[in-house]
Amino acid sequence: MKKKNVRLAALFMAGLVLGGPAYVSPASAQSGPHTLRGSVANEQASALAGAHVRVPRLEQGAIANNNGLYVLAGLPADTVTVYVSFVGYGSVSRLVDLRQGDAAEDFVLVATVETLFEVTVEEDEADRALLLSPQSVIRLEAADLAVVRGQTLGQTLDRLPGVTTLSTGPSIQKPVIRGLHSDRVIVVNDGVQQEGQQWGAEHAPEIDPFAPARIEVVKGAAGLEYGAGAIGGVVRVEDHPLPQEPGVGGRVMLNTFSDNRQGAGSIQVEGGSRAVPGLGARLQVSARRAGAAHTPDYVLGNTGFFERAAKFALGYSRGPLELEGHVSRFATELGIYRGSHFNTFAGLDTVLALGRPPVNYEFSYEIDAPKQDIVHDLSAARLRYNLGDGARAEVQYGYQRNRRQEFDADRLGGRDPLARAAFDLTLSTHTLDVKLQTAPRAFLGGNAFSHVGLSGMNQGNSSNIGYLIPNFRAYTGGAFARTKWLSGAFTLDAGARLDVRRMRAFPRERGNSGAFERIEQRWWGLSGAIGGIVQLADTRSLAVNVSAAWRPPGVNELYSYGVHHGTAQFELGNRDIEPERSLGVDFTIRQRSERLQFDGSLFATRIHNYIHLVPTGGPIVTVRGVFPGFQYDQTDAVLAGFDGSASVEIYRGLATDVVFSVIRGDDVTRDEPLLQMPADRVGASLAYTLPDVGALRGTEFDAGVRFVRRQDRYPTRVNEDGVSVPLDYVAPPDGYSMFRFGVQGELVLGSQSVRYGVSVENLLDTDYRDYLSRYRYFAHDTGRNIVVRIQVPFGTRRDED
Amino acid sequence: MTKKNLRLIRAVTFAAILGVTLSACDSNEPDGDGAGEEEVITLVTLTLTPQGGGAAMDVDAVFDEAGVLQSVETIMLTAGTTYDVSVDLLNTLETPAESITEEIRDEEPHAHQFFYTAEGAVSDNIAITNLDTDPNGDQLGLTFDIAVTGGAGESGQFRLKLRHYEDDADLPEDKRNDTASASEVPGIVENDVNFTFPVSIS
Repeated sequence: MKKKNVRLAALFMAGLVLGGPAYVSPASAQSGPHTLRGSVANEQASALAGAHVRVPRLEQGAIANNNGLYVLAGLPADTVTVYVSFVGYGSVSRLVDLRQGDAAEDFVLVATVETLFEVTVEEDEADRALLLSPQSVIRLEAADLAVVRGQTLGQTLDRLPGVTTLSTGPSIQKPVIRGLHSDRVIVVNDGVQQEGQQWGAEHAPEIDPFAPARIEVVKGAAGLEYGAGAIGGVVRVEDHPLPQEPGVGGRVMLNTFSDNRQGAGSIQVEGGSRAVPGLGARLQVSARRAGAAHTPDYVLGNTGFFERAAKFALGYSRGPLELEGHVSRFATELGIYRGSHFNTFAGLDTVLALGRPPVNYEFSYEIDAPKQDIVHDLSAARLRYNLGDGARAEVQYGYQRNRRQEFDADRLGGRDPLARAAFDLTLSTHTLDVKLQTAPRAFLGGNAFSHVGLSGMNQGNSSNIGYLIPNFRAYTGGAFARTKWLSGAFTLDAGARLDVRRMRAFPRERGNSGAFERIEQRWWGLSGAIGGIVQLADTRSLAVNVSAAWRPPGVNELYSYGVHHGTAQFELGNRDIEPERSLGVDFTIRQRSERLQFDGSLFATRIHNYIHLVPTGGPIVTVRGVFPGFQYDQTDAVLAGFDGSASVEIYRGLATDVVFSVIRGDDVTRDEPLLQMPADRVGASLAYTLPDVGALRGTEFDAGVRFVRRQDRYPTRVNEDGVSVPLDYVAPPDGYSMFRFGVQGELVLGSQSVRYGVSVENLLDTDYRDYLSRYRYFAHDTGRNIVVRIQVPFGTRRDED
Repeated sequence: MTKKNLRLIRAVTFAAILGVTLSACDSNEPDGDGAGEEEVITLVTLTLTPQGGGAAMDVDAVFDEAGVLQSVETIMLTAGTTYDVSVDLLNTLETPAESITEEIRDEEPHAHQFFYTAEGAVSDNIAITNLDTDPNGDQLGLTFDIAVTGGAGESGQFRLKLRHYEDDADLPEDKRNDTASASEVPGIVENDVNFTFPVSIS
């Protein structure tokens, strides 16, 4: 870390220590005459040392000792609700009457089937948030999603601290976690790692934004859980649990976006069987259709898209056995802005000089060349067997097939570009995961849980048209072991993993009519993590995590050979590339009190052999003219920064929210900043919730602003005239501020409720360009956007969302 | 955990691993002909026939599947001679080789135009005339004449540029007003071909 970063970090930590506790309400000031005491144990009557016993209303709490005993003193002569919770167990709440004096209450907790090791533990408990993970994790529940659901997964996550979006127009947006994206971020779709052509910056994750009921973002390496590749972070997308009780219900969701005149809708129908107890199913069908997007002054020609998705899931549980299977298809056809597609470098030069479209486009829903056609099919089956007291075994198999066709703007000789793709790839992936989780075992005065697993992947790519990416077959296998130890206010989590990957690729030999080569490569890597959480008070915790991860080179980094039409660069793979290996440390402080919720993280990661594109120094002469050459190369990189969010209730119904992200990425070998690091940003919002009036429930108005600094750290090169110029074509754009306003709530008419939201993004129709927008060279970002979201539950289903 | 449970886990694990291994039999090896085929120009041939007799000469420029120049022959001209020239653009990765020039002539002559320019020391001594035309009567350039007026001993470059007028172009006006040095504008006009042959005059 550079000196400047160290200063920033110190400032941040000082802010946490000084500013953080200032909001804490004086919990201990509450003092009454009575005492509550008792024990906490599991069903086997073993003491649960470290269980939390809390009275949230009074902000008082205690932790069960090694014998499972707790004492809560200073309670008032009143009835109080006591919550008891312990990681790995279902929590219990009970009303206790202290009006007659001291009381004694013993609690028995039942082990949950939820795994401890995926980030998911139990939901709806404020204090679980404090113990969520030694790593920085953000979780969006169904209610949060209903409000922020965007037109893409990337847009849905865009407002989270530490998460930004790499966009190629409004339809292609991928999440960037602390400066890393694409192959360095793993997307887990309902338990299965998503395997699309993730290497491309203009390849968005193939996920229906309507499907997730919960999204979790793990910031930082997660190699222990996910093996090779998880250097930057993880986006976990989960569906609603399948219903098990009899009855049929569902929800209808509708979204409109004014900017591209988009209409989108989804219907979910789910039910449990009466005839076969434990059998449940769900069907979801979604579609969205969008026309060309607008900037404040002009239309981005050919940026419409048409997306369809369907998913069917079936589950059965009986006794200790749980079976679940699902099949899904995601298909999209999306237009690429014509002014961003270059067959020659001179064409790029023209548009760079212009900085806006060369043609005055009209709004249209039509999708013309250049465009992408993508179909992603996924099927998965999962078997879980509960062995009692939290121990269980799980086997999961997944099969995915990703077909990506990209149509060039033109074909030689003036033939119809839509009649034949310029490249056409099919990626098929089988995955198999086996996991075993043990029951808690008393160990060193605490409880230890262990987790072991094996995983395997078999992936094949075939290139039906085009030589950009060769055919390949890759096998990956991994094994891991992990232990979590809980005692009192301490949680320790440590594990290690070994993965091996073998790849056989068939690139063409260089040169005209070259034969296909056959190249075998093998890589292996160790991943590991050790982390701990200390609960500093009942409402605050501090977590530290150190993790090591690795990523084998991607097929594009090894073998790509051709012009990238989005950047007019000739990109050359490098067969000598070695895997990237990262080591990162992460401090997280969390506060969950009635008035203040705070999550702040400070992190630093060093990536050895960081793979990136660097200029070859010479132009490449092709039949279409001369292109600048770029080749994949390796260096050592350090990424460090801090991010977090705070939300404070100022007054009854009035709350304010602050989200901030700061990152510094450097190539430490060359001692220069890395390209394309997200600019510093801070967002603030003020929300006011009205008291319920008649049919209007939970009506909330919110106004927000986001300030994004100009990215003033970028690599430069000295050109032939001896002048230092950005390595990129254009220096980063100016900073900007973006305003938004929204209203949301629930309308309850008899037994029917409707959740609605209307928001205006880019309220002032500001002209801006984001540094991570790949269209920024050629066009502005989109203008004012009025978004309407409606969600209507129906049938006999729960309405918690 | 009972023994029965362990046996079950072992059996399921084994079956599943076997399943994945078996499904891996396909090696994904390309089948040699046609795998990944792409529409590219891999060979540009100029055929020069001296007017008034003499053997025709072929001059080739060879490109790989990504369009990168692999080799280029020199156009050898004789001072005082005029040549009938024809150009052929081929994709030799196809069997038989596919002619892009034929495609242009048959499908979209009005949306294409070749420009030829002599550059360097030979620029004053080489005149390019008599380009063939499209059905609108505008220049196309699949055939043309090279007149070498002098400059023996000089050498330079001969640039071949194929301009393609796209969906957003106004035709035939944009084509008529176009010049060899005009800029490229995505969506309106871009170069499908743009490189130089070395040329020397004897």
